[in-house]
Amino acid sequence: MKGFSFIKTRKIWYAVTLALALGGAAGLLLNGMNLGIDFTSGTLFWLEFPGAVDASAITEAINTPATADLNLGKGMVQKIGDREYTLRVPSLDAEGQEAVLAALRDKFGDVQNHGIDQVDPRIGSELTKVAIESVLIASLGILAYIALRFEYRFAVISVATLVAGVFMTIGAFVVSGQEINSAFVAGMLTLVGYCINNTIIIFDRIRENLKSARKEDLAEMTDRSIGEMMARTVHTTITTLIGVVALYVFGSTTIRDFTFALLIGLIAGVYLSIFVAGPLWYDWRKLSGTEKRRVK
Amino acid sequence: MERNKLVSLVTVLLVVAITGGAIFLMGRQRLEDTDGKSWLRLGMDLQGGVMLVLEVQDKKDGAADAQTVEDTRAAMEKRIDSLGVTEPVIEKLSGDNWRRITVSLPGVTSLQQALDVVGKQGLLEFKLNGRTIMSGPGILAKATPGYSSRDNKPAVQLELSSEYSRQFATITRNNIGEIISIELDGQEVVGGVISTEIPDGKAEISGGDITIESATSIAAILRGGVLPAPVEHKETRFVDPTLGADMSRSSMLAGAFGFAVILVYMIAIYRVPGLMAGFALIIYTGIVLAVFMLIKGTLSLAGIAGFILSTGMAVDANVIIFERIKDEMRAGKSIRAAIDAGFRKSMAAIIDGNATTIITAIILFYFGSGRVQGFAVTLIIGVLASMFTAVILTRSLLTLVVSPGMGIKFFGARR
Repeated sequence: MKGFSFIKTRKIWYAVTLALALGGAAGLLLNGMNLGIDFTSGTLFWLEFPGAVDASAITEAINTPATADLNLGKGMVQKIGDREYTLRVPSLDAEGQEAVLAALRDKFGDVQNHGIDQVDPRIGSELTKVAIESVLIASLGILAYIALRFEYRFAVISVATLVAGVFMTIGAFVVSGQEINSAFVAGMLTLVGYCINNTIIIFDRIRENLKSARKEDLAEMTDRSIGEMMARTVHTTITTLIGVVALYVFGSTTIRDFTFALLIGLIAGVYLSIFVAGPLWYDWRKLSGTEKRRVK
Repeated sequence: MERNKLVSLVTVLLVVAITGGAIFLMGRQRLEDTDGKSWLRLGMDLQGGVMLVLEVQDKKDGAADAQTVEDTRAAMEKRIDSLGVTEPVIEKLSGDNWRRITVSLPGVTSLQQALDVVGKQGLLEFKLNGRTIMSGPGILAKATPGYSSRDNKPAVQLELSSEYSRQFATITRNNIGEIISIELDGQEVVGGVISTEIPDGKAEISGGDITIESATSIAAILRGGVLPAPVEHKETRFVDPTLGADMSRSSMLAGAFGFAVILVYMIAIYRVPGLMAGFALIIYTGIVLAVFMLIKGTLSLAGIAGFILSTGMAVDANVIIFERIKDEMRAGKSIRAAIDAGFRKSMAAIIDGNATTIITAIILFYFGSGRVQGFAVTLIIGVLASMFTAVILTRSLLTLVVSPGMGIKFFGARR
């Protein structure tokens, strides 16, 4: 990274970040998210069919006169293996679940039910509330900690980049059509931890270099600090990626949703901490007229 | 041997011995407790089974209170006891959700049976010509699943308590030729014409569509007794145990593979220190496991994910330290001085990075539900353990292997 200046090219990174985050927010408003049953409530079956079947055949098969009063609608079918599918329908009680399985067995023969997730409408809305609350409170906690240990500018910028990261991740989910379930929430929270961790490592170096006696201006010092942490960021990201990729390759379908969220969160976190957090701090510091270096 | 090397060696050996011993002893204890089935408590998603959330509704004659919920929980527990499930968990929730009870039944293969046994009200009524003659708790002394003595079909054998047994004898003697029936929650389970006096208070529920599975369910319901109030199913999760076994195998494989690649990577980049960090990482895994077993944690998929993330952070701490040591050596310090300075100057960054992660994890644990909590617990244990192994243990290991003549090449740096 010799000769590369994060500060000089910062306007490009601001533009890219703003575009991605706003794109994510716009996508969210226009398209909405593909919310899983953890949020919307409903019943999810995990089925194994005796042979390959068409998704549309499954939707047709569940709507029989016997299931008419369950209001199943079209249901949502997702292929997750050779002969394995998930089927999502509105919330059903035990009898309704049996009726759906019976209808499928009538049509396709020996359909095996490997799992059921049934979430009541009230539980669904509670989870949404808890998810939003915990992200907000976690951000406040982190804000307070950084303000205490560093200076308020670092704290505000950390949380601001975090918000950008959350919107970028949501954008990736909207674009890819990935389902938002509780795995997504856990992935999002991982992003929060990882992005903040990365940003702090770089801010820590800036804080330290602020005290050094070198003759350089604020821009050079910020660039040097980011550059010095490049090797560490690359190695750490690669090792974390190894774990995530192993999970993706060997893990089952449920864990893939989670690793997708982790992967996006990880990439967004690294990008923001390197290209955005440091330059933002530089701009703010310059704006407030404290370009002259001063030990905090 | 120099004194500081000796101290390091003793530290490392002590940690290994304590961790290894703890895992061995706790694992053996658990194997004994579970009849050799498992040495580590696995979640529903990794071993299969049924997880239910039920909400206690108001009673017919009044609102439900804390006692109603506790009585309901106790009845459920008694019912489940007679199913022979290994390590069921039946817990009341607190706060706003005080009416709710979560039930976890690991290894249960039939969702229907779980729903019946836990959720059915369990009101038993004896009826003569459709009129209730005996009902409520206290009728039965015994209810056992088995096979009918008449046609060898699945049946539930009932034995009335002595008081009701006498009453039943009188009723059957005086009403030969009349119709008697037994109803469970308002549904007739058996009925027929009285042909003779029944003096011993024994009755049988059989015939119709009763299978050995439903006989077991009915017997369990009757043994546990009537639920004081109706319950509503709020959340149901079921994973086929064979699928659960698949998941735990693939996650273990992912863990082992990821771990091996991380080791190779660390050694390739940092040579000898990388190898030492690898050792520390193995001990780190042991410590996390030991603490997890100590707090009687249940390992789930989300827990494994939390572990992988904290492993990433454990490696990160070592990467930060090693990069710092290289910087110090480039600046001309001797290897000993560089190691000292490297560890000392990296501390602030490592502590700040980990502290924010712990803040996040604690908030997750506090506000999150089951799965998110599982993630938070392993993350907290992992981050704390990694602070110890990455800082103290790696340092001891490094002290053991370095000698004054070693140059920067030792750290895998070119210059």
